[in-house]
Formats: sequence, C-alpha cells, structure tokens
Amino acid sequence: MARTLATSTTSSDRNAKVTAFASFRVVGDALTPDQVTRVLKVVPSLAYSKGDHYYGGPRSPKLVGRTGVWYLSTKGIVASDKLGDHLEFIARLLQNGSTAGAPLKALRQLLRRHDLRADVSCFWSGPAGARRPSIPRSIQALMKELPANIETDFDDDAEPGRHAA
Amino acid sequence: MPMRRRGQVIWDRAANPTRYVSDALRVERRELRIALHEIKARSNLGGADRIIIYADGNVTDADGEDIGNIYDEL
Repeated sequence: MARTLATSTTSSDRNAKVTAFASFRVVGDALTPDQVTRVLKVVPSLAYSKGDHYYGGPRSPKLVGRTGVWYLSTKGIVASDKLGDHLEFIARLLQNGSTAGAPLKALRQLLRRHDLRADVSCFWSGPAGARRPSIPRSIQALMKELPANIETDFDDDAEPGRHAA
Repeated sequence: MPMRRRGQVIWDRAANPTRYVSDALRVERRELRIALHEIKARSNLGGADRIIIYADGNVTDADGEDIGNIYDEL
C-alpha cells in the first residue's frame, strides 16, 4: 500500500535534514557474486548473476538481471549524514586485511580476469543553500587505483519548477 | 507474450524528477530521489541513464525492462 505523507510536501521538505550515503558496485556479464563477497568479506545489499531473477520488493514486478551485479549500499549501515564517513567505510573494505590493500589487489585481479567494472555512487540531499560535499582526494586516489568510477548525485530539496514530464 | 498493462507515465527522463512526480506519487521529493538512486544503482544504471516512472510507482529502464517500484524503497 502506498505510504501517504503529509498533505503539504513543501513544508516538510523545507525542514529536511541532510541525507548522504554511498554505494559500491561491481558489474559484468561474467560476475560470480560470491567471489566479490569473499574478497571484501562483507554481505552485499543485493547481488545477482546475469539472467538471475531477483527480488525488488512486494510491489516490484519480476526482476531479471541483464548483467551480473554485486551491490553494497551504506544506507542503513553507516549512521552519519557526512558523505565522507560513508566513503571511508567503503575504503576500509578495500584496504582491510593483514596486508594493507590486499582486498583491493584481489578485487583488481578479479575485475581484469572476468572483464568486470567497479563504481562508487554517492548520494547527497540537503536543504537549499547547504554546502554540497566533495569527494576526498584519498578516496579519488583509491578508486583510481582499483579502478572504479565515482558518480555523484547531489541535489538540494528545493526545486523551483513544477512541470510535468 | 502479451505486454503487461502499465499505469500512466509520469516521468521519462534521465535527470532527477521534479516535484510534480513526487507529488503524483505522494512522497517527499528527497525520498523519491533516494528510492530512484537505489533502484538505478542496483540495476547497473547511472544518473545519466533514462528511466520511466509510472503512476503506480513502477520503474523501468529506457528499454521498458522492470527495475523496481518506488514504494518498495520507502
């Protein structure tokens, strides 16, 4: 059942706090999700192989993976509204282990061997006028080393237009 | 195979949806953005990829393949 919110979304949006999270994703047709899980030693938010059916929720239609996806979102894991804290969580996964950077090296090999792609997606939402975050240089360097693309989705809650699509 | 009947299209673009869309779905715009971000991320789509949102909350990619429902993410 659709959740019904307050009659005026405008007033509630005006008081919105900052929301930030990040996700780390490995994709590719030859992806075997368990291999990424073993390297990073963390259970993904969602993972499926190409052609697998996966569950999106009770209202979602049947979903089929067009390619393999291993996906970890920090939303609900990292309790912070600072994007940097979320990115640091992902960085620690890549740098964890007895030898510094061991998971990163293993994952890089996995990406090359199976023609996979990694990326980090950053989400930020805050009140109008709030300062938008930046991606720390250390994170940029780490992702370049993997390599993983970094994508940002930064926007404030103010939205001037009210136009139909 | 017969095509599944869908609701009215309320968004068919790549950018973040306008307040018109969040109002039509009766959710806050921020919640809608979060839901779409998660749906696109787990579907191997990025911010530049076009998606289609229907009045019942279903979301498809540009090819019409189902990728989720907004209300499942709230």
